[in-house]
Order: sequence, then C-alpha cells, then structure tokens
Amino acid sequence: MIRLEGVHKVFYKKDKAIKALDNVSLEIATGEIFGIIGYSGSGKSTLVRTINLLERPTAGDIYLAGQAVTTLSDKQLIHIRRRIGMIFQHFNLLSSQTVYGNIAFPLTLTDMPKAQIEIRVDELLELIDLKDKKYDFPASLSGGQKQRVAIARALASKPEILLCDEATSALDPQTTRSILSLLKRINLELGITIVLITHQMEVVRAICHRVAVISQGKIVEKNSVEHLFNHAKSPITQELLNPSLIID
Amino acid sequence: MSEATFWLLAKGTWETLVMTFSSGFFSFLLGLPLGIILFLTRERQLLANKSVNRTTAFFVNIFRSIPFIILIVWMIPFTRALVGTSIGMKAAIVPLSIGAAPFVARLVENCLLEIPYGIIEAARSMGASTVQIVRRVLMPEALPALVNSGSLTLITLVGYSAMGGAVGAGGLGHIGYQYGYVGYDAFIMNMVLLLLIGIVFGIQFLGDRLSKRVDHRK
Repeated sequence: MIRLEGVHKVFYKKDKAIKALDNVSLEIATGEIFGIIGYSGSGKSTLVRTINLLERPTAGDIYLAGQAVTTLSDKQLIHIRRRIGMIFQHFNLLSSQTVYGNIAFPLTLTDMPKAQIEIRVDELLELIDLKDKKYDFPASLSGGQKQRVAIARALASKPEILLCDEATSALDPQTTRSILSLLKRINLELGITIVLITHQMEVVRAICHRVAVISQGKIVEKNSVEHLFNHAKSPITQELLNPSLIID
Repeated sequence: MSEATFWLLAKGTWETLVMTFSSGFFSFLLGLPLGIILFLTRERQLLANKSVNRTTAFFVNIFRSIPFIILIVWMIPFTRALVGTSIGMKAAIVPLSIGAAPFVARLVENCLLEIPYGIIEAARSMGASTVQIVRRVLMPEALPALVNSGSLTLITLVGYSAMGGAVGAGGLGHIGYQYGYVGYDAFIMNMVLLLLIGIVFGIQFLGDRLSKRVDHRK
C-alpha cells in the first residue's frame, strides 16, 4: 500500500543542512495499523508528512498503491491527498466553522452536491457519536470531541489511508483510550490503513500491528509489536519501553 | 446654533463620513490582495518567494513612509487625471485610498500570521488548492482580526481626511481649518472636535460589535 524507498529529507537553516530523514525505507501493508515511534526531533513528523507529500523528500521514492507519487505535480497531488486523511496533535479545526462545516470542508473542495454532503456528514457524525453537536463551534468542544471531529473530517472523502500525527498527545489517558478505540474500529470496519506517529509506547501497544522505531532520521528497528516488546534490540527502543523520569 | 451653522456642520460630517468609508473601501480593495501576497510569499508559506516578497514589501514601505499631507500634494496630477479635479471630497478619496492601502496590507499580513500554521497544513492535507486555502481558510479564520483592522483603518482615515481638509479635501477638517486657522470661531471649532470624536467612537463601537459577532474562537 505505502512504500518508501531510500527517502532522504534535508532542511536548510541559514546554510546549515539538517538531515531530518536519512535513507528511510518502509513498507506498510493495506489494512495495517503501523506505528512510528520516536522522541521529538527524531524526524517522525517529517516522515509522516512525506507520505502525503506535505514535505517533498530531497531524495528517494514514495509509492502509494504501486503509483510513484514523488514525481507528481502539485495539481496532481491534490487528487492523491484526497485519498489520504490526516489528523493532528492540535486538531487543526477551523474555528470559524461549526462541527458540520468542518466535516463538510474537504467535500466542499470538490463539486459534491450539497444534499450529498449533508448525508455524508450525518453518517460521519453517527460514526463519531457527536450528532448533538452538529451546529456547535469547535471552541465549545472538549479535546476528545475535537479530535473526533477531526477524524470525521479526515474520513469524509473516504480515504484509503489515515495518517495520525501525535493524535493523542494532547489528550488525557481516558480520552486517549476512546480515540484509540475509535481508530481501531475505523481500521476494522472500514479497512483503512493507519499510520500512527507517537512518542508513547502505550499507544503502540494498544492498537498497532507493526512498529518502526526512528531516531535521528533513521529507522533503527522495525518489527511486529509483540516481537518488539519481547526482543527490543536498540537502546532507544529499550528506553521508549521503560520510560523513567528519575533524575540522577 | 444658527441654521446655516447647522447645515455647514451636517454637510461637513457627511463629507467626512463619505471620504472615510469610500477610501476605506478602496484601500481594502488594494491592500487586501497586497497583504495576502505579502503573507503567501513569506518564507515557508504556500507561495514562498523571496524576490516577490521583497519587492512588494519595498513598495509598501515606500508608500508608508510618505507623510500623508505630502502624499496628497504629490499626487495632485494623478488625482486630476483620474477624477478630473484635485479639490473636494471626490479628489481626496484618491490619495486617501492610496495612502491607507499599504497600511491595510501590513494589517492584513499580521491578521493572517495569527492563524495557526497547522490549520493551513490541515487544509493542504485535504487537497485544498492555494486559491481555496485563501478563500475558504485564511479569510474566514482571519475575519474577526480583519474586522478590527477595518475599524483601525477607518479611524486612521478620519484623521487623514481631516488633514486633507487643509488642502481642499472638504469635510470637517476643512471646516476646522477655515473657522479655526483662518479666523477663530470657538463654537464651530468645538463642534468639529466633538463630531470627530463622535465619529471615531461610533466606528470603534460598531467595529467591536461586528468583530465579536464573527468571532467563534471562544
């Protein structure tokens, strides 16, 4: 479904080159929940953004369902992006739009008729269980509710892939659990491939099938979740598995 | 107050309001696209382009540096070519609009900078084109701030238009100049002052109410 081959990304900050991604190769299967875990600054956010080309890789290729996407023009990318939903740590909802307006937003970018949009939004409100908030503004919602709306918005155009960038990092453990169970349900019922970026091992443990550990722009370990938990090889993975806040 | 004085002040108030609001409108017509260009061509923004950004900023800064009273006089030939005269209310609207446009451009740019980048990124991830992002994301998200910038601009224009009164722009500024500087009439001067204050308060009041109405951020 998603294949990254030798992806590099270099940022320039005042002539200083920063390697955000260093020869990353990954293959993510259809219907899989794939976790990418790493500390902040490890390059995981850049990595997930190369999948929908929000960040263009400096070198390397990306294939979605067998199609090379790195060579596409910005105009062609628009169509690819409509097949990939994305949710974020800070939800990124439009403050000027109601819940309805936010979920309808990606659909209004196309020529979909209004009546059809209304039907689709109602389906999604049902899915995220927020029918009674249809005409509320995001400011009046809790964090968990905002993320639900963001999920509905990401699913509106019936994507094949859902990218989650630290989607639960701003939420408390209880809300995190409910969002994760919603993601799991989406994966099971709709068969959507999910790529999930996080720094929390519990998140990976809760819903991921496979996981890659990233550090300094490199994939240091890649395995099934069970295997990783039992046979962690790299020191970074071990540290992520046993986080400690003890200062010595 | 004699009837003549009443009508003098009423006409002046009317002219000031017309000058302020119509030049406010035209300055946004010019300044809004300029502000959007300034924002979009910034580093790491959708249409990042250093040379376009610098060139636009350069001209905006030049026009912002010219004191308004100099601008009116300097623009006389252009004004005359455009509206056929260089005195009166209609003529004043030309330099007022040109003078306020770069100010509006900077205000608009600042309004857009207030929008969290994540919102633009989310729109990109949904396959929104740049035009769609401007119209459907940037403008509605910045609306409360844009309304505030609108009141700020109009209030500045009340002041500018009064300044223009000294060089034939009409309005309350002209009355103040004639009855104050040329021959001092305390009553008319005080009335002019009160009316100007009233206009400014009115604009601020209506602007605040409108901005609050379109703001859904809290």
